[in-house]
Amino acid sequence: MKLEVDQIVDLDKKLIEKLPEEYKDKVVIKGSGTGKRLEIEIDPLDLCKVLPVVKETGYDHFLGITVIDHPDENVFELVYLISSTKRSGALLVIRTKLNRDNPVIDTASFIYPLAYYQEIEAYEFFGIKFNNHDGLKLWILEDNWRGPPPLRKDVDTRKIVLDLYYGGKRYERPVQWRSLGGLRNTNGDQNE
Amino acid sequence: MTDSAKRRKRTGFAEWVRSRSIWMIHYCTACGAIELPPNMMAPLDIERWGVMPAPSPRQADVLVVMGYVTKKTLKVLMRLYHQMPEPRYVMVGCNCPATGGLYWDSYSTIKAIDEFLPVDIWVPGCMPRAEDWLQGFLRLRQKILEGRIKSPRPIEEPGELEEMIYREVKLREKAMIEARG
Amino acid sequence: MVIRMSKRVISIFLGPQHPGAPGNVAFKLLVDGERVLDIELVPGFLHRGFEKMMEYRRWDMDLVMSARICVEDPDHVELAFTHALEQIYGIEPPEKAKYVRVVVAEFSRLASHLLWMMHFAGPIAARYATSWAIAAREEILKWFDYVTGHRIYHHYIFPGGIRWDIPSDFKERTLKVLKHIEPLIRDLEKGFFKHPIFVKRARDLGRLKPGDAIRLGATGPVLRGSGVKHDLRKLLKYDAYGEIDFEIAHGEYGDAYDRAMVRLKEMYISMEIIKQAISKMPIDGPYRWRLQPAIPAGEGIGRVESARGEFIAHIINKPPNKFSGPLTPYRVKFRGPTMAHLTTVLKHIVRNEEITIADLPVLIGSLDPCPPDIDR
Repeated sequence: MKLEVDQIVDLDKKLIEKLPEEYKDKVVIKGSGTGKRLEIEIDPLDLCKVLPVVKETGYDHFLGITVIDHPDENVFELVYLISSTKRSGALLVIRTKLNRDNPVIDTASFIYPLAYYQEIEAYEFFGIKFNNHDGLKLWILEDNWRGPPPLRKDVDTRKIVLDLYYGGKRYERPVQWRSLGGLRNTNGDQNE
Repeated sequence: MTDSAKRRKRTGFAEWVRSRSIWMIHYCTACGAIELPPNMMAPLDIERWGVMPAPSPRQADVLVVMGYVTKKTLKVLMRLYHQMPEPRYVMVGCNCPATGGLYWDSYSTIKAIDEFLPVDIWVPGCMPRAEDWLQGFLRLRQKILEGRIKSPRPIEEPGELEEMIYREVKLREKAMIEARG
Repeated sequence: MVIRMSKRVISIFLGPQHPGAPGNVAFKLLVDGERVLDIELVPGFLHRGFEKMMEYRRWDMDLVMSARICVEDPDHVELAFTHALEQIYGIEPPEKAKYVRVVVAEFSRLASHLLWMMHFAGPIAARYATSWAIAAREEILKWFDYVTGHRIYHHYIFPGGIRWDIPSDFKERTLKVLKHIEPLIRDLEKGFFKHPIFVKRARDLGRLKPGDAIRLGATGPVLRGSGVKHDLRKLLKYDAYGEIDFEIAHGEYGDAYDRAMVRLKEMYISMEIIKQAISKMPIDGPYRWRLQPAIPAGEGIGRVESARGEFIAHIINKPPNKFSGPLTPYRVKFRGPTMAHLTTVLKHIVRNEEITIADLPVLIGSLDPCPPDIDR
């Protein structure tokens, strides 16, 4: 039942040649199935040196940016997913780690146009700021949420919603009573 | 029963006519809108019962909320509701706006739309089948016919609507005779 | 491009309640007379906060929620989520499950393309094509009801295989559905796609060159209509696509007509794939491996080719800590194909070509947006 190697992803020699010195031996193959990928872990200040190189060697299809919150290590981890149309859909993953108290990094929208909108998402859900980005605002969350960036791990949205709508109770919610048309068990000790 | 409720509860010409032509606003709010095309077109054709999608809210009768309502959509819905001329009705489908549904702990959906709009018909399900939407429209027809509508609407005196129509027809006849000599 | 705000240039809101808007999204247009100078997307009307809600629930409850991300084509989202979870667990589904997954996914793609016909032909006022497409889709929904139990949200593709066994007359029923649909699609081709009015309206509209399409992040039929033969079913060969022989539909010009023709060809190719998958499917055998409830630590990326483009599910799991128990994933991220189409691709087309307001329904329809994808 173990996963077999059904897609060969080999180390891209052209990419390794053009990378800056410190990352030449840090390219690894990870994952399995459709998630088989090449991974590089870089320093956030080197983003502007690595991304143009990556685009020149044929990784031209930008897919997305994933942001992961690690509050115990006090970092935000940014994962850039880039794919290539020329190397039969191979996936390249670039990881960086940002400090959680002051998360600032350069924008990638000059190299990949789609990164502009993924960075707006990262800003409104996590609070990460991007240099030279002129459109950081609440785009999806515009009238939907007011408060701290919701996807951070220390923001407990479930508790906020329970307090706001259901009077703090998870079961026996007042909304359920109303939808029963006024029928509720007459215990006498339930107060709205 | 109060006077106005008694006046509302009789069936007259106005109710008969209004129940046979219900125009809904063309607004696909959310998920539940996927089961409306089989209603409007191929198998269950609700145009036989007089239901048609109207493009602008000024010409519509019923506001159909098809699925979950986020806070941003609620602003649009309130504006549409106030743009509709009276008499107007509201039909709500899917479990999510009724009690919270699947997204009960979401920070951006409305859990009970009953607090914002006066609702006439609830269509439960996740999602309600095409036949359920049809049943909802038929029940709305029955409700309009009997006059049991929740949202406020102008109460006409008996025969007022017929008088207005006859007056309009007479005026038009006079204008036609004048124009043609 | 510098746009001078003279007296003639006004900004209009093509809001969510509009027969020409593709669902519940709004656009902000900058208009000079009839010509559209700039377009900007205003999303957020369908935002439910999926990624936060999924961190509070178990992984099988997450599968149920993930289907509701894209309403028109829910099976591919479940497939992406399933692939990512199976990579974390490190297993592969049994043979029978792979073929059934292919059949279910291809039917979902067919149904989504037929619904696209409704969104596309409706604003052009070709309502006859809408009716035929919805009638054909009704047959597919009845098939889904028979096999999986629900018409729209199936929850049939489950990590480890498929959820329950297929009925005994699976093959006959599927072939009957295909026999019913095929004449309707041929009628659509003759009556709508070769109609001179449609050809005149859609030819040379929204031209997208292949280099631009790749640079702006387009995927799916939008990319293939420009001539780039990029199809994840052939390149990654997930599930049973490696054993099925099919061709990739592509266009050559990159205008709205070619994108529409690509989807029509994909409908025929889907029917071919289903027929081949049914004939090669093993009848006996297990249909699901039972997984242990606690998710191991790891990371999985699932990429599938959905009806609109490339759908990615990225699941990360850490050992049990203060924020996530052993049954809940640590972080789930989805990225749908529509965000690239309605933001970068649309802006590029509007800025480099003379688009009038009357062309907008055809243009937006040919990109086939699914608004819940953008703001899950």
